[in-house]
Amino acid sequence: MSYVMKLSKTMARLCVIVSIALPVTVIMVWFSNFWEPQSQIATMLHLSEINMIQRFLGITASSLFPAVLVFGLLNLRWTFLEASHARYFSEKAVSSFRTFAWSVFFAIPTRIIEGAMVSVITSWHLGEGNRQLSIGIGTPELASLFLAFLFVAIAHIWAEGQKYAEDSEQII
Amino acid sequence: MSIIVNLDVVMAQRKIRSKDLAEQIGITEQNLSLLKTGKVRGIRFSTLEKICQTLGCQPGDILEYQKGNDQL
Repeated sequence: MSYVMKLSKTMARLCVIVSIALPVTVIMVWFSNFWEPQSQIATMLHLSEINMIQRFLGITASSLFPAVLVFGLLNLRWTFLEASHARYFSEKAVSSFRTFAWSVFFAIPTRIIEGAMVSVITSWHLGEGNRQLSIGIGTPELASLFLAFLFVAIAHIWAEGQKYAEDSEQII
Repeated sequence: MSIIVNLDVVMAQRKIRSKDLAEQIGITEQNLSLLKTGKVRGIRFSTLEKICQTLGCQPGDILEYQKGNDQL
């Protein structure tokens, strides 16, 4: 087994671990005030002031970005699994990577929407004038979008490469 | 296709089995079968060289051009 195959196998496992860890982390964040009331995230989300409905709505809203990312990661896992069996240019490997790339791309606007929803959820118990809807688009979002676009471009180049690989396979 | 693969003829003349030839030239029996039936896009020079070396023949003994047989 080559080192690339071994690495791919490890990466496939890592994708599963992260896919499980992401939703768990979201839930933990929204209940973090129970074991760390003074934490930065608990203060930022007003966790000691919000009720359970707000908390569950917050978890739902905060799950949007991880859900898209988990979907992408589970697809990326297939790319790694295919690579771990030396099928680097299989249709499954290429199409899974393309789905991952598009997931990362769509995850960025999802994160912006998620941020806006969380700002509403965590502030609606406040008095009039203090409720907020904040939409944040900054350098990190634009950088992520650029990175996601690179992934999408690479995925499409790879898909073209797959056609040549298929062709090459028919040459004995 | 207008290129005809006569590998099976040469193999029969040399009395060599597909399994043995595949093993000696380092390709799978399945690929050798595809090659014999002409169901491949091409053949590498390295593969052709090994076949000729093993069978003691010339490339022209294995590959033949037939005019007017252009369809696959």
